Parts: sequence; C-alpha cells; structure tokens
Amino acid sequence: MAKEPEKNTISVTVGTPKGAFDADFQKTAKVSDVINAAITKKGLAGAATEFEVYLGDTLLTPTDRTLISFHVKDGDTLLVAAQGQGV
Amino acid sequence: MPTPAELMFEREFADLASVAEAMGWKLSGGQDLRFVLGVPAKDGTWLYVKCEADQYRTLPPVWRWCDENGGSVDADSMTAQGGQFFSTHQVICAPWNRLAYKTVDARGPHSDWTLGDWMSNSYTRQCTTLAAMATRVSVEAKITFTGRRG
Repeated sequence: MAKEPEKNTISVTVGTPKGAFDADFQKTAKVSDVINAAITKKGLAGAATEFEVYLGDTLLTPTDRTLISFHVKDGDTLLVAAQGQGV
Repeated sequence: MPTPAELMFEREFADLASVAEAMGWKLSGGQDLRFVLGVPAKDGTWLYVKCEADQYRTLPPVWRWCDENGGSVDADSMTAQGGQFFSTHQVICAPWNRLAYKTVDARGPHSDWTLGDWMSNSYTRQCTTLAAMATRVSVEAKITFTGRRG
C-alpha cells in the first residue's frame, strides 16, 4: 500500500478575543502568522504586536519562530490573547 | 427594545461562548447581562469569575471571584492571588474591571483612574471585549496564579 504523502500543513483551532476559528497553517508558518490570521479572520482591532499566542500555559515567543519549533501539532488549540497590563 | 448594553453584551457573549467552547472553559448564564466563567488554574483547580455588565460599555463590567454557580462571591477561598492582575487587593486589577476603581469598591486600588475612561486607559490596551477580558483572566490563571487567598 502506498504511503500517504506527508501533510505540509498543521490544522489547529484558534481562540481569539472575538471567537474561535479553525485554520490550516503551513508547517513553515510562524507564530506571527497566527496572530495575523486572527486579526484578518476575526477583525481584531489593534496591531499584531498587541497580541500574544499561547499553547496551553506556554507563551509562544518570539513570534518569528515557527509553530513546529514550539511542537504545535494537528488538533492543537491555540489561544490568541490581547496583551494587558495588571497594575 | 434592547438597551445598547444588552445589544453589545449579546454580541460579545456569543464570541465568548465560541472561545470558551474551543478552550474547554466553563461558561454559564448569559441572561440579564451576567455570566459565570470557569477557567483552569495553574494548580489544576478551577477559578470562577462572575461578570456583571450593566451599563457596558459606558462602564467596564464587574468581575468578581465566585463559586461554580456564581451564587457566592468574594470569599477568600475563591480569590486568586499572583502577579499584578490577581493583586493583593482581592479584586482583578485592570481598568476593565469596575471593582478596580476606588470610587466603586473600597478594595479597588485606583483612585487615579476615571471609570468612564476605561476604554482609553493605556493599561486596557486591546482588552476591550468580554472575550478579551476573559482570555486575559484565563492566561493569568495559567501563568501568574500563585494560589488562593484563603
């Protein structure tokens, strides 16, 4: 039986301050691509630098690193959070 | 006819419900401009906050610590500590929490903020929707939470 070709994308769910969405990202995608996708798909106000991405309790930073370098895999749920400052 | 607060709440509660489902948070209520949100904390327990959004967005919502069904509030056993959000003042310390204002609640540490200016307060940043605020609570529960007050 022929081996299935390896997928070049990662399918994840992304929670955002304006609801959640499902998306496929290239394996070469960066964390910043998730933020930009959230801004575009959900119409988030603000610049990309005003958001951060979490996988569980791990902050995915710096955002120019790839998703796979943080071991993001198919089926994971990422959380895009608006930065905020407690004072 | 719905009030502006009710219209805004309805729209934003739907967004929050979507995120809560995706993240596995516990969300109940949604009537009368109120809901209870449960998020997992760093120690494996659940933290619950009750949101009361009357006059939202003219005023920020009230976020108070509560039990699972929101019937009991502000007990030490429900109150998270850790970091600057979960402050020693027993209230979530952010411009988007009405209780952070001393003019509203004596525990509120801020007499230097104006309640009606919460959206333009520089510390609010993009935490201007119910889901954004809830997301911040969730993040802090996972990252900066150090335990309960009692």
